Amino acid sequence: MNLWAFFTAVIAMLILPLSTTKARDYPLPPHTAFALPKNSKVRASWLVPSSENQLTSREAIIFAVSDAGEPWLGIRGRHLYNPLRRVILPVDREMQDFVFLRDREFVVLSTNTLGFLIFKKEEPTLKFIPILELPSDEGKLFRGEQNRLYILLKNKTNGEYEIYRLTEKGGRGVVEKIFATKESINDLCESGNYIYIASGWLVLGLDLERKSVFLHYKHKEPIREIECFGDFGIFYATDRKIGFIGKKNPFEFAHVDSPQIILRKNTLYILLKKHLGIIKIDNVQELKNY
Amino acid sequence: MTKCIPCGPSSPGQQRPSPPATSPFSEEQRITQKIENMRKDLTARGCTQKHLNFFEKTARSMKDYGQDLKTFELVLDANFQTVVRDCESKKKLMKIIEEEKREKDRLMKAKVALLHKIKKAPIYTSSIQVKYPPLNPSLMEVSKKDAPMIDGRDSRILSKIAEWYKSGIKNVAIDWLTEKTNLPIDKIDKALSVGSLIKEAVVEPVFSYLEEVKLSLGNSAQWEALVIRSYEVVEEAEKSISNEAKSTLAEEFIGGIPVVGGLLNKFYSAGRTSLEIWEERK
Repeated sequence: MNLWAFFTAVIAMLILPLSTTKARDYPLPPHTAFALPKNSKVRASWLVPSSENQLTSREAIIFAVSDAGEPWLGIRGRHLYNPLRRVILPVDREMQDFVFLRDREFVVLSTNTLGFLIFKKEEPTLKFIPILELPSDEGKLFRGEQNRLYILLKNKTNGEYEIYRLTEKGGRGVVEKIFATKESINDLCESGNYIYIASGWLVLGLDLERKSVFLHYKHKEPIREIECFGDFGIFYATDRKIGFIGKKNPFEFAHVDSPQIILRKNTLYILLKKHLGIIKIDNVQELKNY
Repeated sequence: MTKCIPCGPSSPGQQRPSPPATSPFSEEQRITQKIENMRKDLTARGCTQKHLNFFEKTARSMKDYGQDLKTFELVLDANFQTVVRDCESKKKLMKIIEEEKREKDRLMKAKVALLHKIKKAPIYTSSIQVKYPPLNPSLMEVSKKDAPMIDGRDSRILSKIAEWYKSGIKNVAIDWLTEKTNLPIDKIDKALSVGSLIKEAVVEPVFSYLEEVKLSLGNSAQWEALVIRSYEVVEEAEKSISNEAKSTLAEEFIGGIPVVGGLLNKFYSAGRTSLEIWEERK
């Protein structure tokens, strides 16, 4: 599928539904269902309604949400798309991943460098400014607590996964190598003195004080994504389901095809990758009671 | 007063003095020399080749005038003056353009130098690509030098993770077998829990064996081959376990599985058959 055909499909899918239907009345795509507690303030609604037609391209889509709740998608690595504002911004370099550390702090991973984007009125393309050199071009970014940044890198030479943490100490940037393993890592999140990693069917915990590894949760399917929710628990996503591991029994509350999840304050954002829609679930803090 | 009677050939008298004789050849020489002087003049003024070409064209047209060199000289003088005027005005214009360019360059250099001084920014020129600050190497250095805070490559951690995976596989196997055989979970669990009594070398081939059993369902030829292989699986497994574990294996894994219909029976039969063969061959 060439670039322009892909773009046309993306724009058509995102613009047409907004112009014809109220967002909250828009039907869910096939095989999508939610089971949320009735007598609670937990509410699911469309942020960006999805298309009935399924996206046929297998291109990876990067998904990020700012603190203000604005979604940004990275399409085919060279374009930044805000579906709410219907703005597409071309970027001068291919992006592997990006993340919002704070509302205006947008960090980008491009091949083997970490950097940020700048915008000049006279130039139509966002320019990538590289800052940090990385030892690998296969990586992912994760937002930690208190403006910390985690980078997951795959060492191509030995196949090992390495987690680095970037923090600020005494006004200077500090890099620490937190964890290295031969086990595959799909996702990670931070909660206090613990880092949780999604590895295969397991959610493992890294105790940074005791420098140990413990098993936090086990599933029957590979866990693709996790989002830490402070002391309340962890949201997780497999290829077909979304669930919550709290202090009580873990439970699943959504059937969604290939979801990507991001937690911002008390709202969980779910990207329906195959249909390019975004659902938000407000007041998720109430799920800790179930 | 003497009247001037028109003189004729037949009448004698005073004759009008005739003008001095000028040879056309010498006139042509004079004009040729004049052309040469004009040519040198235009070259000395720095006129362009275009101007010179125009003048040459005029000079070459002399032969077209024949003996009427006076008219030719008038045309030559007029064209020469035209060329000189045009040449001088273009020279003035070029001078103005050059002065403006020099001034512009001077101002641009001054601006760039001032910006550099104020912002300490890299200097941009048309011949050099935009320069970025050098990349921070701290992560590269950490990746090469520092050991991780928690080393997930440590064998103790890896074996713990392997155990967690295996127990996960066991749960999946229990669920699947329960569904297929309609047997209570505790019976299946007991049968599969033999894995906890024997070494890793036995558990893995057993679980892969389970997978083959699943694939062989309903295929008699494939099942026959599996029965034969089941002996090999047990033989390989018993090489790596102690006698005590061996007897436990025989008891729990083969003898402990109840004989009921469906999948489990076939699995038990395959195990019993292989044990019998093994006993005969002993």
